[in-house]
Amino acid sequence: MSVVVYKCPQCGAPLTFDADKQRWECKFCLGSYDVETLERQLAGKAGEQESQEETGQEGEAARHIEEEDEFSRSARAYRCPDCGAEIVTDATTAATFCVFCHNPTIIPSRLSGEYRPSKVIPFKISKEAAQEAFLKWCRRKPLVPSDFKSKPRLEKIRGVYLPFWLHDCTAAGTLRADATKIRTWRSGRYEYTETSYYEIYRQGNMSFSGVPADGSSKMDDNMMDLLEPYDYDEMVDFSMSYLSGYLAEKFDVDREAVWPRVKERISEDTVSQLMSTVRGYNTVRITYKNVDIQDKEVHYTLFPVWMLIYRRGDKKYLFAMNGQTGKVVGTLPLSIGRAFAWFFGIAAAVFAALFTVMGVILL
Amino acid sequence: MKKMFAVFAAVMISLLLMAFPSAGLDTGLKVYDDANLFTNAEESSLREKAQRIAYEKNMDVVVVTTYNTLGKTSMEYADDFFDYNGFGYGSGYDGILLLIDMEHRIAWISTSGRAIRIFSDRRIDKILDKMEGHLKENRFYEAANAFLNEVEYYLSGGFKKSVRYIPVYLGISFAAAGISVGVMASHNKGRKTVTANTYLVPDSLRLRENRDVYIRTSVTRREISSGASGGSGRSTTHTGSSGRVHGGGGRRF
Repeated sequence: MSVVVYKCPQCGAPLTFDADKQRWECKFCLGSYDVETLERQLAGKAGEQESQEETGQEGEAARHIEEEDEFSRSARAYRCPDCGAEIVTDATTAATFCVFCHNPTIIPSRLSGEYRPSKVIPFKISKEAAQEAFLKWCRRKPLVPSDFKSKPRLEKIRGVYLPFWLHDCTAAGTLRADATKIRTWRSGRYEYTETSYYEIYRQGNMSFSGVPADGSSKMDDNMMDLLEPYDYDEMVDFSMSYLSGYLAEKFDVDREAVWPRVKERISEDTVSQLMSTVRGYNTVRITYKNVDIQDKEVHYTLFPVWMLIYRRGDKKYLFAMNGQTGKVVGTLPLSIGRAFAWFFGIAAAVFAALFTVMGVILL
Repeated sequence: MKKMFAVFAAVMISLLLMAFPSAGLDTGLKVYDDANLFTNAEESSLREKAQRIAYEKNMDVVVVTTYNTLGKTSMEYADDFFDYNGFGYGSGYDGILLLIDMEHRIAWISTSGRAIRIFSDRRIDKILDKMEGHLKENRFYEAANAFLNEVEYYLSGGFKKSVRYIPVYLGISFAAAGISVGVMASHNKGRKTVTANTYLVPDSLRLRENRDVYIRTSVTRREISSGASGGSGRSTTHTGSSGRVHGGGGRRF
């Protein structure tokens, strides 16, 4: 079982993808490469390697596969091509680092065949920018304890490419609703209320594109949903090289398993689209709704996420940040003292304002 | 001739005195419980309070009870009691008087001078509202006490009046603070930033059916309660037998 380390075509040191420059950087010879040059140079080298490996290894291949199958089910060990140390990973890890030489390492078998993503959104926010953005997010919250806002306590920050299933489809929705228009007016000693009743019929087709659902059982679905939206304009064709220098996960929740969640979501969106065409009523009550989803197409993609672990006392807090937009999700701790201070501060201010204003009014 | 005049004057004065058996009374006492509705302790407590308010606000405050209005209406008796006994401070005879008339079972509030403007019809109505429950159950001390409290309230400045609503302010400010802190706490979690439009292909919505069918109309009517309306600052006045102007109002109990 082999792993891939992206190496600098000039000096052979490992390459990592730089989110700020959107290029691959070599930390040793300071070489910098864009997608085309890197692919071109690597394609040449890979060709050489493959032709070397193919000679003389064909006979053993069949037996190897059987052994490897069993092996891969129990242990998850790979060897670092540089230092030879064993790389131990989770069953779903597709990109990681060698614990000894810290080389960025990619496991191609977990990114090929059905596990080959069609698209990827590369990291756009660098590690430093992610830390900064996270701390800025914390500082804006009035009820976060002050000791939570300091940099050194950010224990761990990891850039991870997480598997997402993107769904394209068309939806046909049918909606029936009872609606009322209410008008009131005064005449003499009486107030009149006129209620007009209507029945609403709506049927419509619409298309959705790129409805995401995370395909990793390690991640909380709700947390991942809150990371949205990602900007799909920056989505590119998948290349393993984007993973160099980051962690990556392959899906372990397949497209069938995420479908119920996605279907429910598309159904809700379809109904609210139809409801948005019902205007000018005071009350609307849905009496019947049905959504038919057709022409479903699913794409497997990797999206960038910064995972942040923050330690405070004995407790660990997990946050996720959209690696493209910088949106943070997760639950910050609540400072009871601050909450009380704000509560009484606001109460006192409102009380003083009321007292003064009423005092002037009652003069 | 001089003697004749003296006799005439004496007769006139005694006639006046007859109209008010208690005439020539001490206007400093403020509480005149002719109907004996209060115990001694209650009377002195009311007296103390009325004297204090009168002194602090420079406005005469009088409480009178009677079983006999000498054939007058409650309004006339109250006005005359005030005028002929020399109540009222300053040149405008500023003062307010509460008559608990047990003969007609009417509570009448008479105002004079500056008090006419301060105690508008609506305010007098409010004072009577506070007293009505007590009067109906013959709790005269509580009724008189409520009267004095209300009088003091309306004679107070805005901030002192504002003190009365502190429980309301507390409720409002605690609710406002609770909501604000709740919103702040909700900010400690990530919020949803996608809508039903996020993944919709723009302009892909095609309506195949779009019908709003009118069914029927119903009309209901409701009488507008008149209690809420009514002038706030008006004080209706009348002229008493002495020729002086009074405001006031009363209620049966």
